[in-house]
Amino acid sequence: MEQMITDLFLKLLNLSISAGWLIMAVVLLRFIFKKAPKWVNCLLWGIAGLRLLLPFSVESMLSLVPSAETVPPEILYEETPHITSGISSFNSMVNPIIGGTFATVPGASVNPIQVLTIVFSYLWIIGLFVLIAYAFVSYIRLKGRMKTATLLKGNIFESENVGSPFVLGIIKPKIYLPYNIGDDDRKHVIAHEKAHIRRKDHFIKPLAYLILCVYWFNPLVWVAYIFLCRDIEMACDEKVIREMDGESRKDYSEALLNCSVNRRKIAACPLAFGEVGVKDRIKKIMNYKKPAFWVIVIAVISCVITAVCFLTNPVTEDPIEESNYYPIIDEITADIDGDGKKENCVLTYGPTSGLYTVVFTATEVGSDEPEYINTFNMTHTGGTHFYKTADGKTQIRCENSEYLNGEVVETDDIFLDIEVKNGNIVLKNGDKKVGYWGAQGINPYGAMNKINKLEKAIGEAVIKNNKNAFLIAAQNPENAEAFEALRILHIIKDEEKDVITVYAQTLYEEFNLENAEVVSIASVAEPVEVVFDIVEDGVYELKKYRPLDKDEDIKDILPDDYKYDDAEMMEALRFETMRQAKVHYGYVEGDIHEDTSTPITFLEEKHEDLELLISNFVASYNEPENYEFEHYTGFKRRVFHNNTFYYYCGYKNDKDMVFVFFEGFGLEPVYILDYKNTFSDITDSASIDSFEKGSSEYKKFESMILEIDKNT
Amino acid sequence: MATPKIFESEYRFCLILWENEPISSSELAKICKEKLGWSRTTTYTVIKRLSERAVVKNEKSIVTSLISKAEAQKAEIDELLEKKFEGSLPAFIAAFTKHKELSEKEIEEIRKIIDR
Repeated sequence: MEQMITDLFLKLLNLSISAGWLIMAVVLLRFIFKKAPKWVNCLLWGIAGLRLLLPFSVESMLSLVPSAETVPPEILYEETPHITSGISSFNSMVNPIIGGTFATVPGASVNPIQVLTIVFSYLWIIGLFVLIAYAFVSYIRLKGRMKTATLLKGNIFESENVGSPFVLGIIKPKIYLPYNIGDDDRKHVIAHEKAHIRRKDHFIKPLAYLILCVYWFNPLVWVAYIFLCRDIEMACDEKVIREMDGESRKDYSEALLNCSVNRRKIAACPLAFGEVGVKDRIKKIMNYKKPAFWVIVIAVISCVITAVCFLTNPVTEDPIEESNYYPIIDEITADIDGDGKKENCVLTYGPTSGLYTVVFTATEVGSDEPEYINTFNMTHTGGTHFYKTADGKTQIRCENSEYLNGEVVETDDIFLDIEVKNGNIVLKNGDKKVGYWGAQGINPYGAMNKINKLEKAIGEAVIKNNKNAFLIAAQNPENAEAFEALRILHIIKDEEKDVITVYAQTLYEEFNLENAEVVSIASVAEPVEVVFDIVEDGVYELKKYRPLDKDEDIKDILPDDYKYDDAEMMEALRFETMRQAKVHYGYVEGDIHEDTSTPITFLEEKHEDLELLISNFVASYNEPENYEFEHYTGFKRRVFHNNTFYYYCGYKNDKDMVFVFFEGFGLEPVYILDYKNTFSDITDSASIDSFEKGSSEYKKFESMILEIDKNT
Repeated sequence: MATPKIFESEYRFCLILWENEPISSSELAKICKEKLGWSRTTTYTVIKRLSERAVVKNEKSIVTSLISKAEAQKAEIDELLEKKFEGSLPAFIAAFTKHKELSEKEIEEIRKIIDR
């Protein structure tokens, strides 16, 4: 119940703020269009009323409303509450204060903002009931007093309890006059009240009051109500005196004056008509001129414009749902499979392999197979959302982002634009290239797993043609590994003969693991021409592999508009081979910022918890005394079957060593391995590297993980 | 005993009563509905109020007046003179004649009264 009330209150608060803009606009228009007929004013107030009545609205580019949701419902649960008023200068002024004053206390069950909102919500309900009760009681009492009013004719009554004439009743309105009006005055008064009834004012004013009751907390709504009452009276006057000559108008004014003197009980009752703002009305009546046609036209047009600008909400960017396995971000046209032709592709937000890893997948339309997977590492305190902007572009918004991709950038909200360039899909932060992925590109800012079959085929050719070219590789086969990276530059496809010719910049590199470090021992970088027979779709048979001669410039082969950047490309290629090597060796460097595929900061944060956990575990396992592990030996990663990553971190003291295993990017340990118990006596040299591939420990460890798998 | 105060709306009720008394309360209510636009309950309430003030009497659903029309009118005039003309009838008449034009018929009526 409480939740419902606060939700409703927040919704009404936001509605009234957006309506507030409209009310201010109407007040301004009212001032500008003093010469316009007053029914225009009433129409404008009607629009304002509509805004306050309707909980929904449409979005429009033409909306002048700064924000449809100034106080977002999330504010109740945010760590640092903030408002979204749509005016950035106001936001930046107010939000620090709000964030500071209402900062949440971790561990508290309610936030200060929640408490405040609950209090306000209840105050609001109380105010609402008070105002409604007041009107209700006044109405009942007035009705009671009018019971003995005597019938004059039709629906007109007279009573000694009437100070100033009024209309009472919503469904069957009755006019009430005092007894002692002169015949002339009475004539005018009746005309006025009848005009009210014809205009349906006896229905409109209570409705407006009801709206006021709901929005009583917003002073602008009171302003609107007061002005509305005035405008209703004036519009009514206009209706009556439209056809009157100057003499009759004078009489009318006199009647007005006479009746206004007797304000007694009526003034307090919101449902009856007092005579409001008499002086102004008389002035207007005496100066009344039928408005020119064009004035009316302009006034009506202004109403329509006002309605469009203020009844509609500003366009918000839709965050794209992330719930599906491969939800679609965008559709672009790019060559992502390297066949030289651009295809309509669908960018999807792939499954994350961890909490903070964002994966993009490009898939050719009509195909089920993702062609590219790209992994970005971003740590967010907010989140990553994909937005469609008003002009249909897709943006990636990273809230409070910090890149771990070679650059550390901290900002509040980063919007990345997705751009297609030379068939590459580029992510840009303003003018700065943050990263990219695409058919012909290897992304220096993220890991790319090549699924592209053509690239795979070329890669194989590269390895084949370079392997064993270096003595070192041949000499030290156990640890050395060869990797390749390439960038397809140009493709010529011969459809008839089913032959494809590819020009690519290649890098062949050999690595070795020395002293627990991945070291590059040899590399060959050369542009090549490779020719394949296309056996069937996606299956390529190598026909020719030819490194370009020194006097052949790759730039001559490329199309004219292709932008070729030597340095950047080589850097990208080297990065890629190194990354592959590191993955192969399961190597995670101490400073994880350098390894772009394994964000495991969260594990570091869990240190304290882990140490306690480990101590308890080992103590119960081995000896009752407390184990205190002082030396944290770092993180490692192993890849096992089904591509499940298991991370482990090690803790060591002179008695024992423990490895704590996490599955993937999980936060809970799935296994704690007690080294002493499992293997042998702990030695000084036992370290995180004890699980080297091929070692007996590694094998034993692997079987343990398999056990876990079986049991889960 | 001072004549009880009768409000304007009640006075109009009394006019109907004076013209139709003695009359059953239900009959009276019917007429009031037609002439004054009062609901039955309103009429009964007024009857009750007025009987409490000893202006009318309601015995066994028959309503009669306790104060005659003449008495009521006199009470009004006395009050008017007292309040607005410091109790002076001549002052009233002087003001009245200055204010209102009398028709021939009305002058005849007045002359008859004065002669009486």
